[in-house]
Amino acid sequence: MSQRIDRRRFLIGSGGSLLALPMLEALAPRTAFAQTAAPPRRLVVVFHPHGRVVGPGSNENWSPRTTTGPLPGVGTAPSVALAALAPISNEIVTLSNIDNIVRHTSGDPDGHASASATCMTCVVPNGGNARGPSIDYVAGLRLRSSPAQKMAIVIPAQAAPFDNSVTENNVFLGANGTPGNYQAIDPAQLIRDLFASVQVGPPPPPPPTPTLNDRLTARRGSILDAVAKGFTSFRAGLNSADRARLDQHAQFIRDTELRYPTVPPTPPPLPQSCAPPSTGSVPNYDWPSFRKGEHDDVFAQTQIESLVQALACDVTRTASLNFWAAGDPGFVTEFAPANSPYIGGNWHASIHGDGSPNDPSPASLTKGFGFYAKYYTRLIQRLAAIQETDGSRMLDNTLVVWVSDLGYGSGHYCYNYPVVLAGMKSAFPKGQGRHVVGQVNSLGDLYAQVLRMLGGSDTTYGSTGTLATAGGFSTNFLPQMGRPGLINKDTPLHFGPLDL
Amino acid sequence: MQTPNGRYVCNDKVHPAATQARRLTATEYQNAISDAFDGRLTASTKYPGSVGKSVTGFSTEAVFNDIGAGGAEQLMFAAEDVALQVPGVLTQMVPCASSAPGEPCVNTFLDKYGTRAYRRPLSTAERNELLDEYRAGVASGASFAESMAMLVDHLLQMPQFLYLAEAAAGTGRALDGYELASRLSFMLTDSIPDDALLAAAPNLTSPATLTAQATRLLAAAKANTAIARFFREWTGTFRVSPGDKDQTAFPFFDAATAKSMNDSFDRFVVDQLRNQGTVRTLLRSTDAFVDANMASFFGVAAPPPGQWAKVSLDARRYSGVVTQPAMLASLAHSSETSFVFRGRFIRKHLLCENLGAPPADAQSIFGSLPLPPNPTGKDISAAVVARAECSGCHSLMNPAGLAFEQFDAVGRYRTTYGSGKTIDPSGVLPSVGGRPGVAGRDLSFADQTAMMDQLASEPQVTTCLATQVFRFTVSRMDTPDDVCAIQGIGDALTASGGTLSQAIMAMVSTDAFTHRSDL
Repeated sequence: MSQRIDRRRFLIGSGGSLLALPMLEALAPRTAFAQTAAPPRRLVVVFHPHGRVVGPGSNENWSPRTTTGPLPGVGTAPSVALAALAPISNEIVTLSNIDNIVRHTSGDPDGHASASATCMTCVVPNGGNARGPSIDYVAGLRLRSSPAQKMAIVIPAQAAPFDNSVTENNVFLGANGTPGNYQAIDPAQLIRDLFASVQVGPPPPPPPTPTLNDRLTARRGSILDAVAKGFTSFRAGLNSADRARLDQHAQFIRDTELRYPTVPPTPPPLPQSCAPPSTGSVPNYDWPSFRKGEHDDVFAQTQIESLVQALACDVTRTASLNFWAAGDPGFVTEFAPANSPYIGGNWHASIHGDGSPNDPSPASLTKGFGFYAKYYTRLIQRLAAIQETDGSRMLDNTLVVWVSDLGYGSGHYCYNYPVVLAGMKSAFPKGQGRHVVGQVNSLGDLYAQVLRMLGGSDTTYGSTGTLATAGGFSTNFLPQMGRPGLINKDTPLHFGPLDL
Repeated sequence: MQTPNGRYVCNDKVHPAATQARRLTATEYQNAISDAFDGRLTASTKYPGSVGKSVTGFSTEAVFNDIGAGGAEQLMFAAEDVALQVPGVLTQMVPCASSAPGEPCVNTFLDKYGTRAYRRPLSTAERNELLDEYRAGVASGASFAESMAMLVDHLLQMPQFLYLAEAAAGTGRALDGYELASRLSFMLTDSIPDDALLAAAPNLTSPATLTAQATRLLAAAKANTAIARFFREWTGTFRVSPGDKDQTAFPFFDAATAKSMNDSFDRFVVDQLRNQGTVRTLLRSTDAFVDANMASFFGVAAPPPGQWAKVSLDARRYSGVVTQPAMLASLAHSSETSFVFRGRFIRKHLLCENLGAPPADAQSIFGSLPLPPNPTGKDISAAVVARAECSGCHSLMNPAGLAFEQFDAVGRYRTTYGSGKTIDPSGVLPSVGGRPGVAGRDLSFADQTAMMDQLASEPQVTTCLATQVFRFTVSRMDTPDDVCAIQGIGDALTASGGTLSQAIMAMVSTDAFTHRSDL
């Protein structure tokens, strides 16, 4: 039932291309995102810059395993870099062998721009400039219940001001690579922006009971969709002339259907845990020390709480947490007061130069990276703590994807991206608490799978074809790929499903 | 010839008829809803009617009933109108709606009403589609009755209900029992199969069972509408209304009179078919059915108020169906007669001759004809036939139409025109009975009764009636491939002395009825 509604939304949302579709395609059922009175599906994307940080290749400390298999039990560190995920190791799936294939179409010599422009769009860039929307935007369009709902919000997770670096402005993107929906960095302003329309208190009086006429009218679009599908199945046994007659009728139904936009299902009641944060409970962002990273732990917790409540209160169904401070300051809170190695230098420079790239576990880099893992854990725990109206955990209806812009930041490598998935347990047939070392898959494969996990039927994401057919083939980063023999002009941009 | 099992054949081959899927006509839709739901639900007038012009004259032609761009919306509105009635009668339809509302009750509903609407048992997938609609209703907070209304809304827009469509047949195949049941019921009752026919459907491929069911249905009162429709559409007799006629010229022609005139026609043709009427009596009977309005119209004694009586009219004036006032009024203009309309019926629909289309500037030509003051029909006809581009068809049609000039635009008998000029109904109907290798002959007559008397014995008329029954049944024009079926119907008519009901029964026994092929 719900698919009827979603397919219509999907088609209409695709630029009204329905009429241009061949008849059979226009009438064929498609899988799209669910939209029922049950708790909504949601997506959270977590981003940090510079990939696995330590490495390359086997000289890294991120991977929990070298082969597919279970993660250590709860309380045991999955890996050195991911030690902070120990409390949630049964809730996550970590991935190896995820590559950014489409980046090889760019001749951009910058080590970061083309990677950030493609790591969530998977669309052939224009040099270092993105040309497509990021995965949060694509999913957000489909997940939101109405145009009035906030779309694919991006919440800064670190207090450093926006400095317009490519890891900030070139990752979360809207249509055609336009800027993403960045939210205020001031935690109080963020709360005011997000929750202005949320009414907390006694529930509003119930709407008047709809009459049967109201109900029939409200379901016109849905019933027409179902009837058109009925024509599709009925025509199968007829001869070509009769099929043509019914196809004509079905097309008129589809034309009519477009004039009856589906009334969104009544939004589910807000979870009892919907509790917008108070602006009085967050620190004053105007403290000078705030912007120097000295309160990043408080800041991250505050922002995570706003993100979680934005989902709980159905302000949005797609939210991203952007650890955007690719330079300095960095991880002041992770080190003893005033001795962070990244205050004088910065995170980016240190990854490139802190010790030997072949050192498998430089202590400072690992400790700095632990900041991300710590707050990823915090995010998962908070989502798990929210109970939906049907008794499930909000985490069970929310897919959380943690990605980066690079595989190994030290060399601007675009293979073996660090990916951690969590939430939406039902979308993992093989369960969670696993590390997956599959065949090489592209980020496009990953995001297509994400869309499927959210209810779509996508088999590809972003640009398609091969490097040559999609946008050309550049050897700029070829020597650094670590994938001998894989990357050439005929390398496909998609390899197939992941082993989840 | 007819085989021992009743099948009409012309050789040892099977001759299926090509048929097309078609949407129900407005009449069929109304009847289907009433019959499917035991009269508890009433069809909406928003159901989209036919579009364009029927080639055969019969309203069931497939193309004639294709929906237009706005049709899907109208179908939706029509279904909603019916669905809105459901809560008020649901407990009468399924008592479990009050005692045990829930999915078992929905299935009870579908077993009975869904089967009727789809004219066969529902497949599992079809049942689930409808159950889904019910479930969606419940999930949205609707009551059981409201959810059932949503199910009915859905059901009434489905092709299984809206279309008469038979599975692909390639070069030919026998229809299954349920397909035969639908054919039979829509042919004879303008509606869905009744429960008895559905129960017999698995055995309808037996000729004996098929004939028995056809006989039962034809004898039932509900066949009257289909019988009347056949004759109405064959003769071009529509339901006349006061708006069709010049109220200055015919002030008495009010709604009540028009209704009586329409009913009188229907009663005449139904009586003909039910009471062993023949081709001859159809064309020559002096019977008429009158109520007070029609008694006044004909100048005969009126039956008691509110009743109808069968009377015999003056044989010197009246002659069967062609002098039924409703037909004469239909084949006429608002205030004037039309010898062209009436003559075209004789040539095109009683003799089944092909006539070309009039030239595009026919009206212009007509307006420029040199005519005397107060021209008679014959004056006008002579001027038309004098034009070379008109004479081909009008020389054939006009004599037949002029024979009916003694009936005015509402079908009243007269002997003079309004100008006072006397009407001369005599003439010569040329080239009747011709066929390849045999020249037609000219029929001279003093008036239309004499003309109809000769036509009633004309084999070409019998063959044409067989052709009309075929077209009525398969909802399209006949082609050379259909000659075997038409010959079989014609043989049955001839063998029975022209008995009209035998044409119907013979049609049911042809391969064209029991088999189909793709176009």
